[in-house]
Amino acid sequence: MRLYILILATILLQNTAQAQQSENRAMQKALAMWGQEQNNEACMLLERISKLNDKNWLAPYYIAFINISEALKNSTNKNIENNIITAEKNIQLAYSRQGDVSELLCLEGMKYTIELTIDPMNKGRELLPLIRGKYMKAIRVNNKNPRAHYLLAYFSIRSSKFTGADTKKYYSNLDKSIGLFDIFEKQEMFSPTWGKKSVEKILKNKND
Amino acid sequence: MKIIYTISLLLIYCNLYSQQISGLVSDKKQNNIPGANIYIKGSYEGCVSDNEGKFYLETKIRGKQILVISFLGYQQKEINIDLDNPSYLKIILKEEYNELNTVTITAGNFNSSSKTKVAVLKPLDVLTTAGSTGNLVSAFQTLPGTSNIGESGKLYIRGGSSRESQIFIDGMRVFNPYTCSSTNSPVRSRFSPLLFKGMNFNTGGYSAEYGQALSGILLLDTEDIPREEFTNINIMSLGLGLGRIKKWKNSSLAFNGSYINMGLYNKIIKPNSEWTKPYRTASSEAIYRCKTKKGLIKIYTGYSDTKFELYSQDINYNDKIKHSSEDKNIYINTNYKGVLKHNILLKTGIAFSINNKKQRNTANYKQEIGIKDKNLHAKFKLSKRLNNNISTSVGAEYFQKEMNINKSSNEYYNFKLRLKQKSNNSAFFVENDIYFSRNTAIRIGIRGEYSSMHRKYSISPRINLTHRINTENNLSFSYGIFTQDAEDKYFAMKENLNIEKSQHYIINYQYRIKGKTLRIDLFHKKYSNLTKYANIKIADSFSSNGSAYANGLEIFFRDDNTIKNLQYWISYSFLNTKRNNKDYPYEVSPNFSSKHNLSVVTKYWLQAIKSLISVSYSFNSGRPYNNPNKEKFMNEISPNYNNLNLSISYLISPQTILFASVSNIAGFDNIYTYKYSTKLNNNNYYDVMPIKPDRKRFIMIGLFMTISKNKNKNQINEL
Repeated sequence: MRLYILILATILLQNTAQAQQSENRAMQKALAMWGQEQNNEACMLLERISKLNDKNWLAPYYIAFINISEALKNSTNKNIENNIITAEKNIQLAYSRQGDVSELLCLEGMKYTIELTIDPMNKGRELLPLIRGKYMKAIRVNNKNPRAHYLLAYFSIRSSKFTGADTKKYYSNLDKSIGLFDIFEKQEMFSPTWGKKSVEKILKNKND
Repeated sequence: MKIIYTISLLLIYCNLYSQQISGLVSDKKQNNIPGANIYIKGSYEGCVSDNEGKFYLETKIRGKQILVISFLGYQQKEINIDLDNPSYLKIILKEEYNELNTVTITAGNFNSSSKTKVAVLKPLDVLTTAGSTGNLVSAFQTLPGTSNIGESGKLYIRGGSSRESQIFIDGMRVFNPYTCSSTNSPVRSRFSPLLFKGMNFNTGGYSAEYGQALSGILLLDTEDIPREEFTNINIMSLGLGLGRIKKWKNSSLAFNGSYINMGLYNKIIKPNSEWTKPYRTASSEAIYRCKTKKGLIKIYTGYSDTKFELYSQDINYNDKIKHSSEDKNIYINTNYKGVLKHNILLKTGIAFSINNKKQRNTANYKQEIGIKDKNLHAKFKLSKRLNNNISTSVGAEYFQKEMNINKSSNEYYNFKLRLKQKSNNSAFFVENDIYFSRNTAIRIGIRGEYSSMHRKYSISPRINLTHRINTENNLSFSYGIFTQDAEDKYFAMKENLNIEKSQHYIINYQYRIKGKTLRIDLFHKKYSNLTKYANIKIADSFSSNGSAYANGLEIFFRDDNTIKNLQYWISYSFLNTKRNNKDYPYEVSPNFSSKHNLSVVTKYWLQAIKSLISVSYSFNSGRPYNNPNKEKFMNEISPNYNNLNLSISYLISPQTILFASVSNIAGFDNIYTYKYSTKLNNNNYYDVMPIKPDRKRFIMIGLFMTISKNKNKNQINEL
């Protein structure tokens, strides 16, 4: 009898642990699909994950991030309006699920940057300080977030065309951010860790 | 023991054996849909349909499940499946209409919101278009369908006079949109273009929601809650401006003040008239916005005070005549938009204004007119999307107007006149947008209005049919009836007058690809019931037998990306119009119409000097005027009008912009029209005087500074 209960208990426990495990496996699968440029499939899987667990903020985070990266890579893409709308929807969803504020502020800054690249002539006035504000707030919320430092420095470099500011200190900030990437500690299994490769690429291109 | 054995075997068995589901996804017309999202509800398992719409899903889940199929632009579908007995699934998805994938109903519209893709004139274009000097109305005169009547400065649309167009802010009417002016100095609109996030300029065929405009309307939408807090300081050659926006979690308060005084400018560059009291305006506005649980409240209050006095030459007198004018205006506009139960959208508002205007002319005698008018507008509108294909809106509005006129003159004897005019209008409107497919839609509406001035009802049906030929080409037809009460001037004769009416027939074609827009409009306007009189002093000679027509062709082309850093647009309008109203003896082309109108605007960002340079050229062919020395009425045409303007915005630092503009740099000697004396001279001839711009050139220099929490904010509309 006791053995019966023990076996049943183990199987039941396995099932709940399995739920978390299968969610983790699904997240991993989604990120792998994205790694292989299957953006559509990745987003669809992340949406299912997001629907099934209303405490998961990383699923909407990545949906937003995939849409934002897609739009930033190719600003003439016809789908760009959908990218912006989907990103906005999912950023707000992630906020409502107590997502990491610093990381989400970074996403917001990037989303506004898309709007800026579409129409710099008319949107610059409003968006330039807004984007800077988002990144600066991200740093205030979490001074150790390497992405916030990288994005602020990189945006300052790109907008120096209009502001006329000297880019030397921004490049040195980029350099410092690499150190932050190295010591960054993930809070959760799928916390964002991206960015270091991009920084290295920017620094390399500067020197060329 | 046996039970445990069976259970464990079953569990292992279930975990190993997987089932397959396959099928085909297509739409109602048998087109296959690739990229559709197919998944089992409540699980992570799913797949995507391939290029031929076929899908194939392997899963370990068993039993009765729900399969969800979705794809952007189509209604999501859920079907029951039994994973123990799977069958081949043929799934048909129904189209879902939303703003992004359906044709946009254009209705003769120039939409310029910073959000729409189809923006023609962005709100900030107003500030940077050479020749506009921040005056809202002058930027619209670079669009087709408008005539540039230099001495007036107001909006003249498609052969209609300036009273035939109305301006609305957030759906509520603006009663006195222009400041007072003298004979040949044009008016300025009261509002700063920076207040607005979107502007909708309708040169005809506008929605049943609006009325009392025979020609067209300008819809201005104010910003919702601003995204940032900042302070603006503007120092210009003509005055100062100060603004501050304060923002809290769900609300914001904005304050703007400005003072314009032409005195200093007049001393440096002398105008033709002698300004004893130079034109000066002091204005302030406060805007409060608050987000509620289900909506947004906006309260706008503005106060402005304008004054001037000048001496100018008049053909009827040897000495110069003194003109002085003063007006004080208060305008309050409160509106609310929100969502009610069942997804019904509510928009409601109240607008109120008091305008006090005094004008004095002193020649051989003194003449004074004081007009105090109070206006009220209350409105509500409910709209709802009934189903996938139909949205409807319904609303009602009420206008009340009271005018107190005091006239006095000592030309022949001491004459004093006091008039009080009261009128009110009520209106009701219904409008439906019906989508037959993604590419064809019809907007059909009807407006009923009651005018207390005429004691009559008017019914105005309006219809617009738009067809999207493909993503680049749009074609639309519209027809509508538009009504307007007779002019305030003729209020005393209202017993003999009827509501004025115009009918619009418009064909509009648009071609749009990334960064380029081409628009062609063909229109015919027929006016009836226009006020006519034989003698303005005799009430019985008044009737509504006047009529008019206007036909035209308009072409507009805008290009934002062919040449890097260069934006330009060209608009050409051909206008053929004749009217027989007021005291005209027969049908003639009116004084405010010109046959050919051309406008070219360019903006270029020169990186080397961090500046935006704008050059604009406009041409209007001559306007008719009446020479009383000749037999034929209104038979002469003034010379053509040419103007070339230049402006430069230089980014001194992230927070400071230096702006300079020069109008008429080519120094064209323009003549607007001619004025003849009312009395014969000694040679039995009426003397004549040309009406020219008060200044040949107008130069403006300004320094615009923005201070905000984030150090790099600047005010340039980034070109």
